[in-house]
Amino acid sequence: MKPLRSRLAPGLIRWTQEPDGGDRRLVMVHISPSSDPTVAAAELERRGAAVDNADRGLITVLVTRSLAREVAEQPWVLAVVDPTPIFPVSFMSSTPLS
Amino acid sequence: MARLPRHSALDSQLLLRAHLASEPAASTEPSAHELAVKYLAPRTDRLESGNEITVKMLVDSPAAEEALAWIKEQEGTVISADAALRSSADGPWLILARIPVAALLEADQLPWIRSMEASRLLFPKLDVARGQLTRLDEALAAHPLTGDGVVVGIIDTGIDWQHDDFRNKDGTTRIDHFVHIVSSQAGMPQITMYTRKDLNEALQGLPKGIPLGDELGHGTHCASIAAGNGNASHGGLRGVAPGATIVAVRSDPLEDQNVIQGLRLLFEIAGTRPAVANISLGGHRGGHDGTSALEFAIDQMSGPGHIVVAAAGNEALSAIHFSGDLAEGSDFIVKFRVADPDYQYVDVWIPRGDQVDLYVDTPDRTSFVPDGTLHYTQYGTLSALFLENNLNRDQHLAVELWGGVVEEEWEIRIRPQEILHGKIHAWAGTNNPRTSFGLFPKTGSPDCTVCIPATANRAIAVGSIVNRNQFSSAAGPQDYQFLTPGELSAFSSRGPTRFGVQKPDIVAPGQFITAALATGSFFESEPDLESNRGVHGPYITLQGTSMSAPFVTGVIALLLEREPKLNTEEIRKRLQVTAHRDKTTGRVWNEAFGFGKLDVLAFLEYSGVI
Repeated sequence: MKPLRSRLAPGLIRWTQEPDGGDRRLVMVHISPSSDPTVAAAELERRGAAVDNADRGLITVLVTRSLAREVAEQPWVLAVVDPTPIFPVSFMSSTPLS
Repeated sequence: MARLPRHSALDSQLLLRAHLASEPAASTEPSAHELAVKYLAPRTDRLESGNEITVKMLVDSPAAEEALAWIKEQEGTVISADAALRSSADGPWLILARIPVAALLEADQLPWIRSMEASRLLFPKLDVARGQLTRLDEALAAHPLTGDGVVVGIIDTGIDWQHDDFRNKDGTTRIDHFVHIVSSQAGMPQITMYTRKDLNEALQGLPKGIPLGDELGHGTHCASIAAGNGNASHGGLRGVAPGATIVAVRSDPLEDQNVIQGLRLLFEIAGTRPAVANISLGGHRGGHDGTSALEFAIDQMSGPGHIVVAAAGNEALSAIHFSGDLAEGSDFIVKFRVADPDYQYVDVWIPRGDQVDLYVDTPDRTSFVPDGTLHYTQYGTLSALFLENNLNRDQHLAVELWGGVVEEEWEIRIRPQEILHGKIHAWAGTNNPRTSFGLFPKTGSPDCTVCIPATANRAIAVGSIVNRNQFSSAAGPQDYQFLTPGELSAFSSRGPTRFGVQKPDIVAPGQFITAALATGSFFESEPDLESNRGVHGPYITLQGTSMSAPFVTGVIALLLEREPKLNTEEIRKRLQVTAHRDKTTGRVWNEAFGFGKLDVLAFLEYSGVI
């Protein structure tokens, strides 16, 4: 079987296909190295995204479902990803490990 | 001040104390008590109980009774009295007593006193870590560095900004900025930056609306290891770089995009000052190949004088990684166990060019193809998607399960059609660290368990070695004699990364490190951590690569004080070349020890000439 080609992260693919899960999502747009982040951010704003910040190759924006799909199709976009949980790397109990 | 006698039974602290106490009061000069508080308090017991002091007296055995009577005559209190050497019937006696300061000079004249010294509070130190394990104290004796002028950034659960270890002796804060980032799935992040001025005003009692600094306690502990000054322990539990400036970022919730924001803000705040960021946070969603957003951000933002240190992870024994080789003609089965009733994921990475068919089978072996459709089964709600990742161009099977039945076993069947490469990797996890283990129960392997973002090319990835095997706590002495200080922590994640990049870089003490405890935090109140909480002040003993990473962060801060423009590659090279290696660690890089154990003396003295 052939893998699906989409620049949306799996969680965003699901969100764009389902009716529930909120109308807007905070996502990170990973742009190509040859793109200017300032120009890319302006373009995203023009398309209706609310830009939080643009730093080097990553732009954090608030998008609707349709805008997420639209952004993912732009040639200067490498990936559109949603925030991922990250955890403290220590043990939360006293149980030692041998 | 009176001249000190040439020979005295009193130690130097008691002598100074005695003479200060005997001087007549002067209206313009500080009182003896004030001088004693100023000069002696850090090294003797507290003076709040009036003009008394706890002393250890070594007296000749025949005079033991006379000594006890003298103490009573001075209206002192005997705490304990016993023969100093059990093996000798005529040997001296050691008496621990509390006596008036005013009696010290008279005690000095007593013929039967051999010696008397002030009793000192002892703290379990960051001491084993500072001593032979890393040669930190030896290094600082030769190179008096403190991290002065360097910004240590802790991007974590926050910091207890009221803890004494993050305050100067005059009570003002050592924290340059406390940044609170609050994000939600459907809105813009809210970032509040509290400046040094805000924190100082809050410490003086002015209402500034600054939230509780650290609800978990993790960030506080890390900050203390890297840059605490040990004020609350009279210096006994000071961190590696106690002179560094601290910037703390509290991320609510703990998410990669908040860490990216925090990293950006940290380096902006640092400006032209050298800065080292500590990220003792990690996860396993992603290809473990440098292409995730956080790994990318670290690689982009690191530069001369801007260094990132990350904890390698604690998953060596957690069975959350699995790898194998596909071969045409036979199905490859990946079995995974449901560990969490709320949510679980399994990510399988298959090399581009390999052609496969995929099926996800429920515990009763109902098969689904990964087409992205949600399937509601009696074993949970399944989503499986097979897609090509545009960043690394590999094939990614993303399996997610909500409401799974714990302990049930699912299968992922990979049917190779045409194989060019064959090597697959899978990582699994939950959203609850307490359930995120044993997910590949029979086939989980410790290799490739270094977490994201320690897998970032420009993150210094730090594994853990045992710091100590016993310590005192509020619940009594804690004894882990099956552990040997200096040995690799069994939990320390193993490398390399998915594409063979050498991680971890180095190992440092991370198992049972005593450092600051945040007031009002989970670590302060959790019953299961009672045997970790300290007896001497607001400290707690924890374990994890979370603890080893800030140790290295602090050491790098020491180096940046002297050489502020070093970049990650230069620092990594120094860590590699100077790491301690022996028969245990191996002579070359390996997946467990990296390039070896941190050797601070060699690291700071490295001249660049091999």
